[in-house]
Amino acid sequence: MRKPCVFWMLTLLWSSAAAESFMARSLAPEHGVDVFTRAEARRLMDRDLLAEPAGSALYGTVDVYDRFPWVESHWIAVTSDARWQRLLYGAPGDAPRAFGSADMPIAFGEPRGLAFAPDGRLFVTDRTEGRLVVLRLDRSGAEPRLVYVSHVDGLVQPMDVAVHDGGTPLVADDDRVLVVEAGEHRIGVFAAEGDRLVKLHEFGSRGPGNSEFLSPRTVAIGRADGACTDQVFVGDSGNHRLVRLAWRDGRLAWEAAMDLPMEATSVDADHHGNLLLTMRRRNDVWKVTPSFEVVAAMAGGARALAAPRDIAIPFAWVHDHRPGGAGPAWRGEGSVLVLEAWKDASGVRLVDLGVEIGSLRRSGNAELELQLTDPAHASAEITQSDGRIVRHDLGTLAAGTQSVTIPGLDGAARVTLAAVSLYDAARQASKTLVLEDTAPPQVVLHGNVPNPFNPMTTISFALPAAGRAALTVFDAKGRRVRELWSGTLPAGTHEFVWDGRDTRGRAMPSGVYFGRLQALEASIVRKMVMAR
Amino acid sequence: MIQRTVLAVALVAGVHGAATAAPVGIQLELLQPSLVVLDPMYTETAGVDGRTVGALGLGANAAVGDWSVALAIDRASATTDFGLLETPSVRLAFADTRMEMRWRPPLPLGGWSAQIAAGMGRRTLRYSPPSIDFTTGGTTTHVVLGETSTWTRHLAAEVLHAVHGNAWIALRTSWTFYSLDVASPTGVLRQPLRDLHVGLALRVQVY
Repeated sequence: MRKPCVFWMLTLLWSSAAAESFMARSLAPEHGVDVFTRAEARRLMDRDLLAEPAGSALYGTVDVYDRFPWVESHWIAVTSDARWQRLLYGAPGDAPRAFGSADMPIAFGEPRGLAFAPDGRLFVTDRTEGRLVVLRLDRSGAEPRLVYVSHVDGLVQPMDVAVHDGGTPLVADDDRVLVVEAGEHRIGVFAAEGDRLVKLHEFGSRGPGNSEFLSPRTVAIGRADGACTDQVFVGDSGNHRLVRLAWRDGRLAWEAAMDLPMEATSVDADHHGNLLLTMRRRNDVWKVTPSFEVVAAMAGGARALAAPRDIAIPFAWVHDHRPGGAGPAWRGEGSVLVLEAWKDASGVRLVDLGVEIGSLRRSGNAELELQLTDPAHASAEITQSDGRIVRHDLGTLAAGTQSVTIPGLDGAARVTLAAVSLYDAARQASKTLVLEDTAPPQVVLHGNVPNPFNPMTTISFALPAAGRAALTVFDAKGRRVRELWSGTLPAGTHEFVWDGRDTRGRAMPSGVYFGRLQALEASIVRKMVMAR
Repeated sequence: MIQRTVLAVALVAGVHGAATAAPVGIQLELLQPSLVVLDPMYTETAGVDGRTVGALGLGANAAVGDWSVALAIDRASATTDFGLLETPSVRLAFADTRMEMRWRPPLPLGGWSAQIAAGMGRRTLRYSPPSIDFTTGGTTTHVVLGETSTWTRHLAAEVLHAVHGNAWIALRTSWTFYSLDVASPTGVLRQPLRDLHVGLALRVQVY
């Protein structure tokens, strides 16, 4: 039963209203709860509930039948409380349960990172005790319970944990458990032998270079269609970077790193592989592709979140028991919970992953360059100058910047690109680009839209002929902040988006900036105002 | 089946026995608003939003002295999203048809009296809309939500108050017992269920 005054109802109150983009939305509008905060906990439950939530995880099962009840689903939400030294967990509708030192033969010191394996095992890092604890979700009773299984000692400040399913979510034997040991600046890799965990190897040492970390804080496994890929992502806190590792012959190996403006407090991969990074001090959540392209920051910017520290992406076993039903699959949802600082005005927030078209421009005669924030089904509708409308199905496109070829796309036309979220067809985005047939008589730099802006703005210009062009942003002191484009472009109108960040990805402060277009021996400058 | 047969025979025998001793009266039960506390299975397994739902019913009974036979129908509905994320709620309608034998002990007290009843009936569960599509990880699953029916038995206790000599208001509490075939990951289980009804009934003597 769903009691309106129970914390865990919040995990299931994803309303049917579809969001338009990557943004927070009301957690439980029917109960008047936009954000579940310490104040809401006091109002609804007459207690603080949590002291210092550090990590969160969600685990679900969905069964489909050919008879009553037709569909049955169960979810468990777990939150680690570092200060009150316990886990708080429960199913929607049930009163939350605490799992602490009294429920196992060892004592919790500071439980932090949480990760569910597809088979229902829960891994918990204990930072101060230097321990990885293995629990199991017992569903044999009327209400699911966490049960102690085993633990591993001897870790040095374990902060976060992730489970690699070996690419086979249905098979538990090949799972690998990755633990971030901040104190030793490394990643420990464990395998299960029965109920015990055995360390296989370690990766990393202290330093700023390749294969080195400085107090790594968080780890996530890459994903594709729910299953784990061979990529591992590490939030390297001290070096302010996101690191990508890969499995090579059963061991972790260095691949690449991406600089961040500050430390990422958590990194998680969604069902389709996009990475979600929380940056506590920046009050922001970024969406990053596995190839390190920042495709979106959460709508609302710094005002939307309060010290986000972790993200819980709901994953569930989906099993269709009907004759001819699809086999079991491990699937992630398109809405996530963001864990903020536990205060009277912040706590647990629901965020839609959404889908957006970041930029759209012509990159060739019959070619469009576009940026998608998430994988999507895309289509283009072209309205020719004579009024004819032609529609093209572009199929499923990956997140990030890419080019698509559209036959017959030449001359004057109006192109409307539509993207439909793979999570939910109700989530759609569209963008229209007007292509000019006759080139302008001279180079034109249009004003940026919007202006003033915060933090993104679109700069467009038109070229009378194909040729080299460079679009650069300068600050008020004349320092070069970011080069948005440098290369050859065809004649016509072109659009570029500036996200308010410099070349290294650092957010620029409010103030006056200048966009300079150099093309075909012309140089034009326009003033832009950023008001954060 | 044997239990139902025995119950039906008892009902008929009771009516027959009473008819030889007293005149017959007919009452219409025009309005029976009630609250139903559903078995926990509905929230725990079927994802119904809450256990308590409202119900409306109507019926008729033929009274023979202290005995009467009643036929009634009830309609109730609940909502469920099956506990799924991002799925619109559907309505689960409960349609009950029931017949019962009532006995009123000859203990009137200033216009008040009591009555007990036992009977049987048929319950139908029907979803509206009759199918859903839900998405997990981008995969859409279409599920047809078929109709489910089962036999029920019930016991009831009533406190009656006479109004204007030819009408009564009854405060009624009843327990409905039935079994339902419920699918689970390990197979179909026949689950015994029990609902509680608490409500009022307005009965008017028409004959």
